[in-house]
Amino acid sequence: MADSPMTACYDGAAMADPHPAGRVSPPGPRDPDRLAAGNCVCAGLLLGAAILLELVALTWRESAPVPPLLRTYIGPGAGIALLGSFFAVFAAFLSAVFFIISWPIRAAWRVFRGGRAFAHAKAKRIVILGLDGLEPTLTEQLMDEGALPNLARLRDTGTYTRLGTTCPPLSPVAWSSFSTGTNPGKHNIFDFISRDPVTYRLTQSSVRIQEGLRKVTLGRIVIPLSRPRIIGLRKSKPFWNVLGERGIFSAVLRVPITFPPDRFRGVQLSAMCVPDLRGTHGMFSYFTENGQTGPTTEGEVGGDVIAIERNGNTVRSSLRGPVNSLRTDQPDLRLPFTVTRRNGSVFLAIDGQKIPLQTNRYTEWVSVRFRAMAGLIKIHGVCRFRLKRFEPPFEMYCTPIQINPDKPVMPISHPGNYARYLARLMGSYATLGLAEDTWSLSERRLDEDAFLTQAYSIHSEREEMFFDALSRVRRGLVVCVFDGPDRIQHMFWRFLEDDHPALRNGDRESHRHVIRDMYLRMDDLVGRTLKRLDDETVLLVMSDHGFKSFRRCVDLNAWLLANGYLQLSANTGRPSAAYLADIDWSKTRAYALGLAGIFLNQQGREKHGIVPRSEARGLARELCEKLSGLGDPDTGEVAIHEAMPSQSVYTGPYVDAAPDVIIGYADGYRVSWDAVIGKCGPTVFSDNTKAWSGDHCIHPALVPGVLFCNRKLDPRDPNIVDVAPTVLDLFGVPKPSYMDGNSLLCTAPSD
Amino acid sequence: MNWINGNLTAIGNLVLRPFASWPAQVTLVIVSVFAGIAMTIVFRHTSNQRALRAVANRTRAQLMCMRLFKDDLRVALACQGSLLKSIGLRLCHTLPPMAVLLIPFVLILSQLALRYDNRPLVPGDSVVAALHLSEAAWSANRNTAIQVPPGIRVETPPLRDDAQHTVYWRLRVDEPSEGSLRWQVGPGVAEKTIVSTADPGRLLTVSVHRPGPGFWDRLLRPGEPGFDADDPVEAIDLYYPRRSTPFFGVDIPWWATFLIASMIAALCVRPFLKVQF
Repeated sequence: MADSPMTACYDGAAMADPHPAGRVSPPGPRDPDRLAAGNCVCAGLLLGAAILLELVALTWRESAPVPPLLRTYIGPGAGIALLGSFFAVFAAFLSAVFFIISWPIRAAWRVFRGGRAFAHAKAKRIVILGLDGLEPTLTEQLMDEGALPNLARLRDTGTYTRLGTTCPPLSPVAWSSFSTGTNPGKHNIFDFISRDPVTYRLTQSSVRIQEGLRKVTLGRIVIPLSRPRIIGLRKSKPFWNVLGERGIFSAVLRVPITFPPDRFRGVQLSAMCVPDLRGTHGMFSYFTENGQTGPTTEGEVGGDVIAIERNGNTVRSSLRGPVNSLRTDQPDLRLPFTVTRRNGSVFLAIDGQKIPLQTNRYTEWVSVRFRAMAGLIKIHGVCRFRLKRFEPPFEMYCTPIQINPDKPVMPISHPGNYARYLARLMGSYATLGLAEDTWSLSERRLDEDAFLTQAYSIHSEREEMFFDALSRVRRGLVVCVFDGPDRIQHMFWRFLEDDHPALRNGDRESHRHVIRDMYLRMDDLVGRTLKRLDDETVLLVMSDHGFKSFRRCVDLNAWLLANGYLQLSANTGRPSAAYLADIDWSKTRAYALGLAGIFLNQQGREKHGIVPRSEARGLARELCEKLSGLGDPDTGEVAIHEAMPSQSVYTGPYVDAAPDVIIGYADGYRVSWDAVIGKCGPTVFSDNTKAWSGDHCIHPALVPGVLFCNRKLDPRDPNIVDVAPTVLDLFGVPKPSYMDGNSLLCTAPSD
Repeated sequence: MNWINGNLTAIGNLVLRPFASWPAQVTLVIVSVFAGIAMTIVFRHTSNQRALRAVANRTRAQLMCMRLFKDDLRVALACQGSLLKSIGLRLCHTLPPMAVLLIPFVLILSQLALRYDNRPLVPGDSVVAALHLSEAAWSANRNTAIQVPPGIRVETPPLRDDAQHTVYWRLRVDEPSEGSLRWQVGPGVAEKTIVSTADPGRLLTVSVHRPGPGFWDRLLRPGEPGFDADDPVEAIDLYYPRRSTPFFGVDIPWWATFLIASMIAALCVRPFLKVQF
């Protein structure tokens, strides 16, 4: 039998096929059909992934006993990463196609709905850099010294002017006027805090969080049937809503009084008045081995000093979280942790995480979860720790536990996933309204340097958000407010003066440079912003108010008591209890609460009001006359520049919610710490010895803000309420009739 | 390699012996789940978890960015560009753990293929045996005869493929048996195991291919020791029937089951092990 190289030969009976049919199986590894069939199963999903790693696996392609796709699957981790990546690419591709196809339709829809958004615009993009509390006198001085080259350039080539502020010159009030272009009588924000006239209880001025009304109680368990409501109390309409109605996109970052967030065409991250996880304005925790424990101050500010237990090189304690409202007794939720020192290294073990601690260094943001209902419900927060010392006595600081931006328990952005987007992009960040923990420095739980580190860390986060928004919004509005200047000046003003009561025996030189450095840093921010702008972008750099020294406290309640307008209950010592608790309402005609001024105990408004409505104006006038020019007998200075009846200061539907008398303090004076929370102290005048040594809650004429622009504006007596109409004008949008301000654009705007 | 394969196969047999009578798909899922968990642990310790987490976050951020800034086509497309960059970076970060996992994973897969790719023969089955000879040994040994163990019958005379230097036989299983096929090749005897059983679902080591001297061949066919380079026999194949591992009536390839089950297991344990893929 002749064999040819290409043929097979048989002994005996012929075998037509070496792989016979029937139950003889086809050979597995060498069968190309089978490999192809295997590929087909998953090819659609794994194609992209397979191609990539096929290159790696090329050497054994032909000899492997398993399908090629499997060779690309190097463990589930890589498999999931590959699959995830493939899906992401697929989603990106699909969305790209969708965007490209739908863009003309969406553009047409925008034109149909809002007209041509930029048809009459004088600028393609407007960027507003809010530097909270930038003081004009310091700014001007430093510009003249040549220390602020970027701001000086804006002044020289565009506009610089002092910017009139609101009455009272407080951030929530001023930024609300900025947003709405109205006076406080129209936007309803007069102070940080207010009071419920029915209960005389302290309330937040800008937001009310209402528990769900419907709930079922089963023994000790409360099951809510409706969600809590977050009601914004700022009225009127912000100008970004007006722009949105015209189809103009806005990115609004950390502008005070934007909680709950506005709904408009654009993105927004809430700021001032966003509470911490405990529902307060920010309470830090301080863990210590010695000394008194409990709250450091009265009310929902300050901090909590919490005891630890030590067992050799292990320290145990727990983080105090929100109250468990799912139980009738409403205990605090706690999250235990340990701090352990081993081989010279210290570690914090909390919520399944092991975090290295270094003395006098902040940790990164740490995610924490408080569990309610046996772990079924988790409340997510973030905080940072700072170990002061591990050796006895142990001391560790923890920032207020803030809403986790990646899993927010309350709406802190618009749309809801904008906060998540930022968290994913840049990592966790401070979400608390008043993020810089000034109380910890006031209470001496942090030193100046630790506070500064914290403040600048938050500032850096804000910069990252701002520059991201700047890169994303090519047409429209970008607003970002930086709180750092305000907080740093509040806490470091004492170092600027030689005889500030808060630093009588302290080392003045160690931090005298801090405020100057901060101004330089803000100038650098302006410089970096300018570099990112094109010719069609208008830049506004502004502050909501200026800054002055806070050396002396004026206890308005003590003054009212001394002058017979306020009566304390019998046997009440002084200072009296906080939150107006010791006041005899049947004999009290006026009381002070908050930073802004004095309320009358008015009939028909206050629960126990005794001042008839017909006499209210007269009484307010009488108080203004007596308080205007009030002198400080200890210094011989005038303490109150001017007291003003609110009816003469404000116009609008919410004037009645304002304090009846607005106090405009003189430079160096402010309402006392006691009177702010409704206490009545022993004396009318006292020194301010707290680290919070600079302030701006004085007469508005004494603390204007600043306004810079890279274009020429009309500099005649500009006010913060003029910014919104100016922005609208720049975008070619008519000013709504409710706005009090006017455009600052020159008749013939200079480009 | 023969030593490694021999030991791994022995360990595999030891571990799977208690489950030999279980349905193949059940043991496959169990093995896959354990492999998935083990590989997840290895992945965690061999990858830069911090970097992976950061890249994964950026990837999600870019996806959200496309929705948030959808009005601006250029910005949305830029987000997509960043997204692709993040994905590329993410894949780069998975390369080190993949490199580490490559060897153990290949060994595991080879062992699984040895058990799940093919089933043992049962009475009534026909199977083709192929003896691959070296070129040098072909002329002298092309007429070699096959010796079969009891219970196995040679159905056809040998079929010689001169081009491939291979001789084929078709065998038939009459009774369950476990033994070896033998050939007298030159001065020595070449052997190849043959496994037949009464229960086709029984999980047994089924070696389709006795490998030659190549590293990859030996690595990926661990069932029997490989022939040396100077051996007249290059390899021996015995084309066992494919094992079926159906789920809910759908015959899914074992490797697909392994892939899915191990990934699901990895995803399930991920929150507990705090692993970022």
